[in-house]
Amino acid sequence: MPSSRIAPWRWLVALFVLAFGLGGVIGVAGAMSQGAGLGALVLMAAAIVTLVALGVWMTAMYWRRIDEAAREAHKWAWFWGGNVALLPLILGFFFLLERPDLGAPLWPGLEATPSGYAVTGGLIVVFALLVGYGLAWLYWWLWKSR
Amino acid sequence: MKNRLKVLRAERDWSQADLAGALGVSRQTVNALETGRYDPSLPLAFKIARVFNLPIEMIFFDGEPV
Repeated sequence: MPSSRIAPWRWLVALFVLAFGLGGVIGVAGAMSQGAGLGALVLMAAAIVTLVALGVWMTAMYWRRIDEAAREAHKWAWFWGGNVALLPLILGFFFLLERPDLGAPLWPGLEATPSGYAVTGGLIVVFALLVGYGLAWLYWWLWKSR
Repeated sequence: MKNRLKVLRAERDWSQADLAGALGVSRQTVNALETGRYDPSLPLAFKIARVFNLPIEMIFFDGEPV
């Protein structure tokens, strides 16, 4: 089937599958990298780069196939959902700076090391952005096109 | 921005899906246009005008219809 006939939502589903696959590969790579040789590390890196490149291509295909209102929903959700979701994080950031005696949260499964806290901060930002983005996107579609 | 899309579509006995197909957009987009919750880009507005064979100002207006 020519790619031009594939519906946008199919690209999105494939992208989610790919994202979970990428997460799995990164997880396995992380677990195996402790005692892995250089060849195995290069192979893992190549697999990750390939999957990311595939994901970028699929995202581009999805973007080309949706209409302008659907694109507007994504832009609107990114701006409003993303920015609003960052506000409580910024407040929390300043709160922790003012009260260093309080224990900073740590992502489950991570060790209380500098890298563990850095990863925790990154994950909190990513998840907050995804939640804000998702809610704003739903609001746009439910309100604008129902 | 207001528009007469719903009236024009009804005059031609088209469904939202029919118009969406003619414009190459989703039915949800046609609905968002008709309810005035989404203003089309200039290229889409010109396309809509061509589909209805009317000048743009006969379809879209910011106050009372022309």
